[in-house]
Amino acid sequence: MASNPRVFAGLKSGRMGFWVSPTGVDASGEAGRMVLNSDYDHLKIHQSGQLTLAGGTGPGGAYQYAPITINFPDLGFYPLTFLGSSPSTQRGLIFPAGFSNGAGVWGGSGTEVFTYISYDVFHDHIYADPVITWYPNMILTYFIFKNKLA
Amino acid sequence: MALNPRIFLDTDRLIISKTGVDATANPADADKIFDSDWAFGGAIIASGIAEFVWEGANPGPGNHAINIPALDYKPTVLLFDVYPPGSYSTGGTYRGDQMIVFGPYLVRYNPTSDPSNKNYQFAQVVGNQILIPYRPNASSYTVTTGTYIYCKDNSGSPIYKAHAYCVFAV
Repeated sequence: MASNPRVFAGLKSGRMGFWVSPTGVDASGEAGRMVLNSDYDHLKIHQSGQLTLAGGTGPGGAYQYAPITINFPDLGFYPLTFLGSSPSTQRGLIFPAGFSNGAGVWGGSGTEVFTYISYDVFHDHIYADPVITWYPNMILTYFIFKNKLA
Repeated sequence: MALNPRIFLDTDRLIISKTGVDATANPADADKIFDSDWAFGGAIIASGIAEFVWEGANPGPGNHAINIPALDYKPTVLLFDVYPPGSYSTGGTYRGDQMIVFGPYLVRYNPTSDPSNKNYQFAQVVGNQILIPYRPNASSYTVTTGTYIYCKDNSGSPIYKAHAYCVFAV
């Protein structure tokens, strides 16, 4: 048997629970970081997905995106959400979601180095206002968690 | 048909596999729900929205602080600028029942002497606190983004700032 148990279920300092530790940490002890820890809440994915969006005609040759609504089953609270973006020519996934319209950097003429896509979180959907970029298309990747922020 | 065991457990290892996958047969990561050898199991130390009375337009150096549980390691933190549900603009307009997420907390600024020089001020974790600077750590600056203020009713005062935060056990 290993000297440090890495899985422990039972009574620890008066509280019943379940703990799993990384190598070198005693799951039955109080010191060190736990991989799984019943003292805390854990991330739980409620819904995830991707949206492929195409921009319409915007001002000055830019692309304007329609408002975005992502619906999910009502949680009864304001959840933790991750929203990331992949603007077409920029490649890769950016988190939090945003884009660069910076002058000369990505072919745009804006003065902002980087613009984050702000959005509204409800109990049963998230909503983003129209955004204007120099990118003709964009992929949004999102995760809605069963974890309450408010 | 034999049922595949979906939990493999000994003192050194816990593996929970997906339906139809034998947890004792060293499954691939994609076929597992949980493995104690993974670096992160999803534990959240603390999360929520922290509200602070706005420090004003030209504050001295200082921080807003969010207290988190004492840990013997420095955790990963996500910090966002938000308006809480049911907030009002400083002009007294009701913004609705939603929580508005602007993006990650950061303050972008440039030195007054060099408007094209873009700098960022970030929050940091010190001890059992997340410290969120009021202002850039520079002698003379112009803030170009990063101030989101609101009121709790239509009176226009007092004025608040808020941050959604999530502290991960990793």
